[in-house]
Amino acid sequence: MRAITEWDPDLGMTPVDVFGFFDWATDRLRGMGLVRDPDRLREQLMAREAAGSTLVDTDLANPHAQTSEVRGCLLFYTKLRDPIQRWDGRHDVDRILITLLPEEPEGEDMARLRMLYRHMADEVFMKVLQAGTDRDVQQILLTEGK
Amino acid sequence: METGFRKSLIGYLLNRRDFVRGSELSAALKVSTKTISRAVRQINQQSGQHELIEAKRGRGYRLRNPEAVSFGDVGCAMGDANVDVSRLSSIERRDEIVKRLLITAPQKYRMSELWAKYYIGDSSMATDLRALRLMLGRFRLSLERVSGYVWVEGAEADIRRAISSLFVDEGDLANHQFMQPNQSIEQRDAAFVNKQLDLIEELIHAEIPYPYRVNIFTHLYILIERFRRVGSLMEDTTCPEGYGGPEEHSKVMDVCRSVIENVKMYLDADLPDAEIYYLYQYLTSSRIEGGLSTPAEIPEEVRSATQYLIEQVALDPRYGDIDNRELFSGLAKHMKPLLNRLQNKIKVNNNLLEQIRLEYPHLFRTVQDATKRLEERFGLNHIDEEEVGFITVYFAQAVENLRMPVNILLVCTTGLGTAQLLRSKIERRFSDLNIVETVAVKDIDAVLDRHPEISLIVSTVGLPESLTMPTLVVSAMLTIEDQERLERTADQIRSGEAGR
Repeated sequence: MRAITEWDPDLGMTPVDVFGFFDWATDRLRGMGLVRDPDRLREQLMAREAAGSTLVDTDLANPHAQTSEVRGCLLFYTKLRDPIQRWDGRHDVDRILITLLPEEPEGEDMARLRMLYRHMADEVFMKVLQAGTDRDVQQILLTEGK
Repeated sequence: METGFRKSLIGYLLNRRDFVRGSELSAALKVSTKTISRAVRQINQQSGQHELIEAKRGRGYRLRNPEAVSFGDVGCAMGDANVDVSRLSSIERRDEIVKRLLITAPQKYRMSELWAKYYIGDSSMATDLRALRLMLGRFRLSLERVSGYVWVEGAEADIRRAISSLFVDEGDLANHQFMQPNQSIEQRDAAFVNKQLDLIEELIHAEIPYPYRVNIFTHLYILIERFRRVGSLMEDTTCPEGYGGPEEHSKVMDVCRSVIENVKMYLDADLPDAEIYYLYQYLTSSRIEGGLSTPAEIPEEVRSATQYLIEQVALDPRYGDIDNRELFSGLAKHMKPLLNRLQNKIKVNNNLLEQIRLEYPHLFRTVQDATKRLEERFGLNHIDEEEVGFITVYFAQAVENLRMPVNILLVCTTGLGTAQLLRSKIERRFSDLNIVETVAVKDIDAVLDRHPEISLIVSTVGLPESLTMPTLVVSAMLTIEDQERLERTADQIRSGEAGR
């Protein structure tokens, strides 16, 4: 499982909406050679948002998909300079953790991912994801997600 | 808003010692609860730095410091400074007088001086005397009156008990207005007492929980104050009634000796051994987990009383199925110090009483009736509502445990992400929900085939319309609103009311 963090990136547009963010994120992942078809992945993430809010705590969204567009489990965490207004129609978000799983994830990755989400119910852990520094976030994602 | 109405509101609160619910004020003063809340806000805004009325959600309103409130304050709060203490309510007046008499008992006071500032007639004074006698009689104290002088007479233990019961509550402690109206608490004494409580905890290797810590604090503080004011001590060195000095409690006695030794040094006075025994009574009347008692030490009388109480409550068909054994082990530990408290006439305040009554009205009444039978059967002193409230909590917990678990299936897109997060949150917050599995939305049918016992699907994503069983879509945050919906749905499933 890979964990990547992006801190205050230039998304090339203001203001940013959910579509614009997914467009940037999937393209960024394609640039790293981690995603096959960014447009398709973006549509999958948008579909997940339409099915129900992915907000997991204040200011933090967790879009996710199980998709053939990735080869391995992937965590892509972004801290934005300016929040995306009304991410789910109601709440603003400035931290986004995208979780991507291949169609057939490895057992070890699944176990680690499950553990990561169980830990997210812990307030201290969640606080880091919500408001932690670059270093703190990297540390917990590497610890729990690598 | 009318000044008259605000005066009525404050007057009403002056006649009540504890919180008064908004609904009661609304009914009594014939205005809406909103008007009450607005009036309180305005009175507080106009009463300067210190708010006159304390408002607590779920409990209502009360005057922050009725002893210090005169209609002069009220007048100021309403832009009218021409009212004086002579307008104090009769209850307030008697409280002030009895407090002065008790704290300095057996000091004698000339009646004309004691009542002078209230400007009342002889008949009102006579009514006050009758009321005070009644009040003091409850503590085996008498109000003596000879040649125009009045004073309180009785045993030191009873005087302290009366002070503790009539004038000391947590609010007083928090507001630093303990026994001295309009004066700050003796911070040094309070700090010393707190240090002794810490020492007790250190020596018994356990924490003294609420409300027992408040009680022991009060006991030691009154001891010091009584000594400071009138040099009054326990009468002799005779062990107070009820102290048997059991072998296993010698450790507790050692702790009490150490503390009283410290008090002696602090006051630079020789205190009688009775003080050790009194402190011993307070300690053994407190439920201190892991410190003073072990389950094996539960005496037969406590066992019988606990069992009898459970049986009496279980006579009500609603509580007939409570888990006797589990309830017994918790309740017996509470009953042991409770029986000591009853024997030693030690009262504890229960700040959650109103909440408990509101939350479990029927159970509270059932427990109250059962405690009356318990008193008769075992010849106990009266078990007051505060104690009934504590006992009710044990039964309420047993009733909660009775609730049939609801088997649920957690769903998200992958079964690995938000459903796992939801799992952790639900496990922490709902002991009566049994999570059968956590799955991806595409696998629901297969899991339902394998697990026919599942009666609710909780999901973070929309679910297929084809599902025929109860479902609930919640956010991965599991907000308070989500939790309430989940609880409601689970209750509906238990009662057979839930549908898709």
